[in-house]
Amino acid sequence: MQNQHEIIIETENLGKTFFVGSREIEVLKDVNLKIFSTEFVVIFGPSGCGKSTLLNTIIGLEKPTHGKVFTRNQEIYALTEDERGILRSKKMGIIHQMSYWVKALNVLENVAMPLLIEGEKQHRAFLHAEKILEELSIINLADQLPNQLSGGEQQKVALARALITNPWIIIADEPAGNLDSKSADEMMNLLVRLNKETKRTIVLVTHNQDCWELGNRRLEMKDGQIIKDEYHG
Amino acid sequence: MDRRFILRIVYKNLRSRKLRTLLTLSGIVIAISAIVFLLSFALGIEKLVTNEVTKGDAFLLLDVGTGNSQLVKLDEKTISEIKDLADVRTVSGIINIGAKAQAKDRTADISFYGTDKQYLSWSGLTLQSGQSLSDNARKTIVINTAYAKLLQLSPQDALGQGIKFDFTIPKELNDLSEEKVVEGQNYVVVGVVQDDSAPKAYTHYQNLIDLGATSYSQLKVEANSKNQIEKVRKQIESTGLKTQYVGDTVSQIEQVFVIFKVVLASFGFVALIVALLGMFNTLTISLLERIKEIALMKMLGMRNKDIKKIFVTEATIFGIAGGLFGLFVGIILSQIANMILNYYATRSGGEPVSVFYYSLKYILIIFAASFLVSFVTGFYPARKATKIDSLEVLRYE
Ligand SMILES: Nc1ncnc2c1ncn2[C@@H]1O[C@H](COP(=O)(O)OP(=O)(O)O)[C@@H](O)[C@H]1O
Ligand SMILES: [Mg+2]
Repeated sequence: MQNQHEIIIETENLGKTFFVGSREIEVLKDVNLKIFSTEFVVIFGPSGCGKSTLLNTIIGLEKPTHGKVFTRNQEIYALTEDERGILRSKKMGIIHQMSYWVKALNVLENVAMPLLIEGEKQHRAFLHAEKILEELSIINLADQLPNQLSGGEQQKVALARALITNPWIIIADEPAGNLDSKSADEMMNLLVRLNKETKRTIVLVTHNQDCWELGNRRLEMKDGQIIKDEYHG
Repeated sequence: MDRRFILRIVYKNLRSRKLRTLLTLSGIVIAISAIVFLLSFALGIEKLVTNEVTKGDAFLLLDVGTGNSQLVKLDEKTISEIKDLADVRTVSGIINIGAKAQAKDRTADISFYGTDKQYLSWSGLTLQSGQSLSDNARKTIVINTAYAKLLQLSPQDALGQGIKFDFTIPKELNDLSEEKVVEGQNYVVVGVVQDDSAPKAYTHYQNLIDLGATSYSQLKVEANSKNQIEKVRKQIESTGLKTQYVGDTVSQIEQVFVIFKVVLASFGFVALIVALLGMFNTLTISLLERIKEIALMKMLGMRNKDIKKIFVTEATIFGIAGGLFGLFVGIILSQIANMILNYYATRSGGEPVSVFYYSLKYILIIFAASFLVSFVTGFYPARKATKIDSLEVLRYE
């Protein structure tokens, strides 16, 4: 079934080794992975197994020790840092466990930022940000400063910011890790809805077992390797 | 990235740290206003001095003398030769001899001059009472206030006072080979000029020529226009005479004031450097505080050049705002100082003056310097900001 769709992300013998003093830590060991359009991939595995490192490598922030990463056939580490930045801002929506903000800017301005970075004019970026905030039913937060919001609200705003450029893929690294269970549920439902209704490709890293049944593909990682890869649902 | 959004980020950042922004800004304002204050003070003083020197027709006048030369003389022949030069309008001379003056039972050695009305007015001597020298009045003199004081007479009372003189005409100014002494000459005071330096008396030159003087001590030559001065000067000097010109003095004054200005301006620039260090400090602290934000912006794909722009813009805004307010405050403060000064000056009988002078050129230079220097100061934090590794910052919480 996966072959009907275009490959968004592909890794080829991806390896990453950190050097801490004289110690070598091999965090990723020859990871070969294809993520197809419209998939909702849940990645799980014990803490420290390399999930975040894999995502950081995929989004172009962590140069691999060996192997390659392609997004839609573009080998990203053949690009310059700035070019990878452009690719990231235009084609990837990223959400972390903690959300970071430009503190002096309000929610609307923060959400609009990826579009502005892309080169969009200010008023159009703001209009677009309003639309996204409305879609996620958080337009009431537009004028507030993000740091004054609750954790759940902040993560929704972060999702709005990830969505605004209409990216090829949403990459979420434990987005509910710091949330109470109610907010966590809301967040996950939002992701499921996005995948179902607008066919967005989503990669979600989580260690919450309740979420492992979400989506339609499940990857289990251990010691820097993918040990299980199965489709369901 | 949309320039307006960069401005918005900078503006909101500055606003979210009001006190620090204000303190940094006031540092620059203080520095710039100090520079404006000191420099306009230097310019104002220079202006006052130059104006004093170049009062009236001064820029058209050449002083002509013999130097120490025995070969040339300022006699009637020389005068008519100079008068015949194409660009010379008029020539006036002065004969300076020694005199023993006797009046009101008081004997004094004074300087005695034979000259004319024109020369006196060129010399900037203004009448306190009576009248100046006229061409046909014989045996009359104009004395200065210093001599009137010596005689314990007010300028008014001095008029009509008779004075008896013994003259000594030095040999350079007569046709003999020795000095000529003429005794018992009676003169009447017809005018008093303002000059408190040393006792002096002036009579029409014809009186001294009648007594045997044949040469002048000095001439003043008026040129037709300022542009011809150098030409006239060369022509006169080619005959062996020496000339002096206020223009020379003015350029000497200007040279002295260059140093004065540099000294004052460097006080200001020290202040500016301190202010810049303050700004540098502010920018660096704000960089440290914002490491996470910058990491975020990079994570979201912001280009290094845009990140640089944020910091450079922030610094430049300090420079522009500080420059403008600084100019404003500097001008206001110097005007207040001027008013206070004039208040005391006029109370003690002086004329109100402008001690401060603002030149557009300097104002523009100061503003440009404030702008440029802060622009450059923004570069270091800007470059540091681009070196931030977003993963390093965002990875561990
Ligand atoms: N920059 C780094 N330098 C050294 N070790 C690192 C670095 N980043 C991650 N690691 C190590 O790599 C391993 C995997 O980390 P990570 O990918 O964050 O795991 P996960 O997200 O699965 O919990 C951990 O042991 C971590 O300590
Ligand atoms: Mg992790």
